[in-house]
Amino acid sequence: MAAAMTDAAWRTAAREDAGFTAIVREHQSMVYSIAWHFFRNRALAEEIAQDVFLQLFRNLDGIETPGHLEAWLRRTASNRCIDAWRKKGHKEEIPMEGLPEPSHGMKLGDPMLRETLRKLVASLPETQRMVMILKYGEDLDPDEIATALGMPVRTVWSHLRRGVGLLKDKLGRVMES
Amino acid sequence: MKTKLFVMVLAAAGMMAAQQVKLPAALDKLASKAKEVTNVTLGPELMGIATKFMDDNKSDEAEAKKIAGKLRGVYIRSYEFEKEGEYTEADYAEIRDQLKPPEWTNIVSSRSKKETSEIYMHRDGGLLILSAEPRELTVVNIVGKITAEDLGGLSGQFGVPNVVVKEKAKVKIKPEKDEEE
Amino acid sequence: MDRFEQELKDAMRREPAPDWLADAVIARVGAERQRKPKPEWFGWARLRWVAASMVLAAVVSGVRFEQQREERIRGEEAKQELMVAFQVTGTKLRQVEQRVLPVMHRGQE
Repeated sequence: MAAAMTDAAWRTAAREDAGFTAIVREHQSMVYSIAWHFFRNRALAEEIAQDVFLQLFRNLDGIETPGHLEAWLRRTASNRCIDAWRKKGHKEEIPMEGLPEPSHGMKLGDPMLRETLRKLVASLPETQRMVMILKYGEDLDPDEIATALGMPVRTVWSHLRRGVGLLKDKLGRVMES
Repeated sequence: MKTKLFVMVLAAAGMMAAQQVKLPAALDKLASKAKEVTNVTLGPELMGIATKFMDDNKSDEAEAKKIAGKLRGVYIRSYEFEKEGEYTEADYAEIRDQLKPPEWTNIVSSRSKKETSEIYMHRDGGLLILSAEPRELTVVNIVGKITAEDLGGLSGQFGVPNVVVKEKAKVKIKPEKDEEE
Repeated sequence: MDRFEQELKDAMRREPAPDWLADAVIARVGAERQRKPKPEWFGWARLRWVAASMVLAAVVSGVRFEQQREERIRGEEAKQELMVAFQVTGTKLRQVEQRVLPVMHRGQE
């Protein structure tokens, strides 16, 4: 929808029914994917995604450009996920119990390894988890992640270092082979 | 006829209730000392709801659905601690006290100075796994008609090599000197 | 980016949203709009896509959708809990195997 439009034209189109629908269709996978990787629960991800777009509908007057929209959606989706997690009363622990030990025959490129990685990311503390999702799932750089989550860039770097370190540790020697 | 059916239902419920081990209050107190806690309490209603949402097109969920269909409950308490000595045998003694013949049979038992691993099966099909390590204590209680083949499926499907568990075999391992470390 | 991070990136690639999600959003927007009608000067009167019967359908489907949504959330949570339970069980069975089998083999030698 955003291609070859001026910002003013885009704003007008976004506030019309067809335009808003197009925005939802264009960005639904980004919003849904953030929530899905965070919760690994389809129903919750669907719920969060809908809430984000409903909130967008209510706040559309404040969205100026397509770039602003994308950043807004990402920030809102991330914060909603973290808030929802905290409201559910989860402790800030790493519940990695019960995950299959991955060192039995898994290699780089193995779909099982990727599934294990997804589960491991989903078991990280919520803020660190979201940092990892925005970095590796949404390909944001640390500055963008810092803006989305409202934290200093050095905190983002710290989360990334510790998160990657933790995952590598859990996967053990698989990644060295 | 109705009375007979009623009695059969009561008997079935009774059998299932016998397979569910009462988890001692001492275990819940361990949660505050643990750095990681896994607490699963799935009774018959939640088991039914869970299996409804399993995807037959995903191999792990399809396998889980097949096994879960035979079960009436899954109860897990697992605690991982920062350091050794955060729990004692007394914390889970009450569990062992409930696992007596003829209802329960100890089918696998491995004990060393530092670790204890035991698997019990109920004569009506339930299962209890007790795993006590220096920094981790896990109790798994499965209520329902779980078979040796299901155990193989559980250990094989969820990313790990198959376990061969012979129903009638009883393996007792005495600690050897070179094991104790 | 090293190989591990590339693997992580592949694992975290976008999960497509269900086809019906956009329709569900529009239905909820419609239901909300009817609860709070906007004054003419906002410009919403230009949107003609909500006839009286469509509004009623949106509200009714919204209520039904709420009930189904809650059931789905509960079901997914129970399913995840059960999968974790089976993974813990499988892991513990394997650990017992690892402890028991080497000693059994030594006994057979």
